[in-house]
Amino acid sequence: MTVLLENCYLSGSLRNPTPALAPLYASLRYQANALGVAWENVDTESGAAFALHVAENVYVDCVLEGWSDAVERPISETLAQATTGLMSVHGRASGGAQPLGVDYVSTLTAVLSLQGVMAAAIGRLRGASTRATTTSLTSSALLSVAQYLAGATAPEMPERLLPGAASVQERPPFTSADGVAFELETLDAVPWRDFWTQVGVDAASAGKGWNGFLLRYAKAIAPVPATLCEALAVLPFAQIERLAQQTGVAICRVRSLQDRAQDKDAMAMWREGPWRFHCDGDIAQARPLKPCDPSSPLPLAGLTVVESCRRIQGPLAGRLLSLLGAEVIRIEPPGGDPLRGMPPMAEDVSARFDALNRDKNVREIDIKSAAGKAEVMALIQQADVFLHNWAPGKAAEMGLDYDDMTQVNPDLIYAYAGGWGENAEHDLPGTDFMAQAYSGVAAKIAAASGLPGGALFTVLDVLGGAVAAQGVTAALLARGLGRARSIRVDTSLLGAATLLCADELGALLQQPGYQNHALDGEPPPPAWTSLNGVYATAQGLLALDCLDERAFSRLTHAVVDAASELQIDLNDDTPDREHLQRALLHRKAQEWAALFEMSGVPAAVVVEDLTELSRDPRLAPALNKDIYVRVNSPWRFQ
Amino acid sequence: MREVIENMEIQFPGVKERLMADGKVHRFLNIYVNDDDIRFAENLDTSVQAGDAITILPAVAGGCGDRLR
Repeated sequence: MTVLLENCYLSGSLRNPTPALAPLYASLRYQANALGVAWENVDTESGAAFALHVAENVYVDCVLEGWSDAVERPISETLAQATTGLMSVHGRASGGAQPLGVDYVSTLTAVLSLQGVMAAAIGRLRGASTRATTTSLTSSALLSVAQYLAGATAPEMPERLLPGAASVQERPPFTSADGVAFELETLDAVPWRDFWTQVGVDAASAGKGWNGFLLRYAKAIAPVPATLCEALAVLPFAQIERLAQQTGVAICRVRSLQDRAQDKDAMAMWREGPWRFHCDGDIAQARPLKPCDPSSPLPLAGLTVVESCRRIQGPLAGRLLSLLGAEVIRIEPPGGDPLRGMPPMAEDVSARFDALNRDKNVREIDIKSAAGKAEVMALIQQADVFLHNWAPGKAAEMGLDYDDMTQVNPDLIYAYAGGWGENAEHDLPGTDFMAQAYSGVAAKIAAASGLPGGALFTVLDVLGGAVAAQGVTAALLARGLGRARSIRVDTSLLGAATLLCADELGALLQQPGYQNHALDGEPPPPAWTSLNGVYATAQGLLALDCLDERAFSRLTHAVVDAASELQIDLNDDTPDREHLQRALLHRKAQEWAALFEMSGVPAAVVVEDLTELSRDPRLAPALNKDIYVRVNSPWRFQ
Repeated sequence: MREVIENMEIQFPGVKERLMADGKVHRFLNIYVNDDDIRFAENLDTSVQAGDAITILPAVAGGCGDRLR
């Protein structure tokens, strides 16, 4: 195991964060440990959240804001999910806007903030004068819904998909007669058709199901005819598994985190973090990183990334590196990536595709041909980073693996954004919903959302993309510090899932400092969380998230006062959920949010229609109302 | 549907290669006639009437490449 950034350290008062920032800091500490970055618990002089020190007198501050407009007001995981449309996207196929049930925004913000300071430090080492980077929870959250927002605001046939748009029952995952929830996966209509024929479903219904099934990755809904769910509900899982294997459809049970912790590769993946680094070459001969481009304020300006990626995870990683200033050369097949034409369109390109791939220089290359391979190698010779997400084994088959490329460029960072990591014990396709089911993330989301399985929001593709870009940034920093010459960086969806559940997995794997509630019993939730949740109002939904006693006390006082004004009997000085819900139905969500804001109660209107996001002044600096509503860079550099 | 593609090829040379190979539609491409995927009907022999809507869409997925390919 290579600990990449030993001797670097973070400083800041991170041991006692506010309850709202506790999950973010827990993830940050976990990531720092895995990178070999130590922790010094002191206040930063500038008031920044933390600073990354990479060499003597070379450090960069990280400012963490709650809101994109940097105005101080209550924020938390739940409020960030509510106000940025994450609950809305998750709610499309889960019966209504609701929290994901995982600390998603906090984890993603931890990844991006650490990536931001690492990138700024690279800039410093290359001669830039960057002193600090700023990121916020809401900017990170918006980044995660960027492609859905593009779809909802595209000029041509925008998608209008509101929470509750699709059935909760008639969608994957499916459930067998013996009560096993499971996901199916295939990207090919023929195995799908053969599978359903074997199950006894007619071709027309299977075809309708295929249309719905294909919508999952793009639209976060997967409406399938009820006959499909009913046909599987009368078969035992073992038989369904057999039929899937016979017809070439992948199948994965929705496993618990306890199941995942039992896997042979779980401990190593948890310890290493979501990246695996492999360093080679004689450091003495390493070419220093190119100096910073003085004309750009961005820390990776002047560096070149060559990307050969499809779909979401890999392209998002390239997009993030581009937002840090790198020139990204995107290799597409002759004729261009077919997803460029996927509606809804923003002029001549798919809005969703553009959200993930804009600002990249496209080169159409047939990478399977000898001439194409030579063209790729010519690009690699001049590049700093190569990034791909090909199917396992493809790189070696095409002669474009790490060893092949480092022969033409021994100073290359070679990054793979894969599905499962190197030691997978199965042959499942590396796609988001398979990884959610396998990793325990789906089970965790299911428990919180009242579903049999995970989210149809691409939870792991987005986090996996951020983790891949972060791994590349860490590797570039190691290169800038002269710690390595060529570096291979492997990241995966499963690694992203491990990061998302790092605390619970740490406990299940009996790691020191992680409390195992499975052994000593779950502690009762604190009383001040008893009213947290999403409530209906006279118009719209309201999210409440009290994370300490003071906030809870403010909430109960505000509700008691409002109830008295509205002449509602709460039955008690401390309302329970039922009475609170009854009271909240007397006013609109907007009105309650305004009242609670004045009282300092952590509350927010749940955004249900994504087109409303661009009208929220709190989010304005993170969004750009162009031909569609674009999400800006999650980082600012000073 | 086969005839439609042949006619498209005359008007837009090269399009056929983008849609099919060896007489079959590419695996990760979906062709719909009035919202019905032709693979669940008569495939390239699916009949097309005047006024029918034909949609050609690539499969969208997440994650990395499919090992089953």
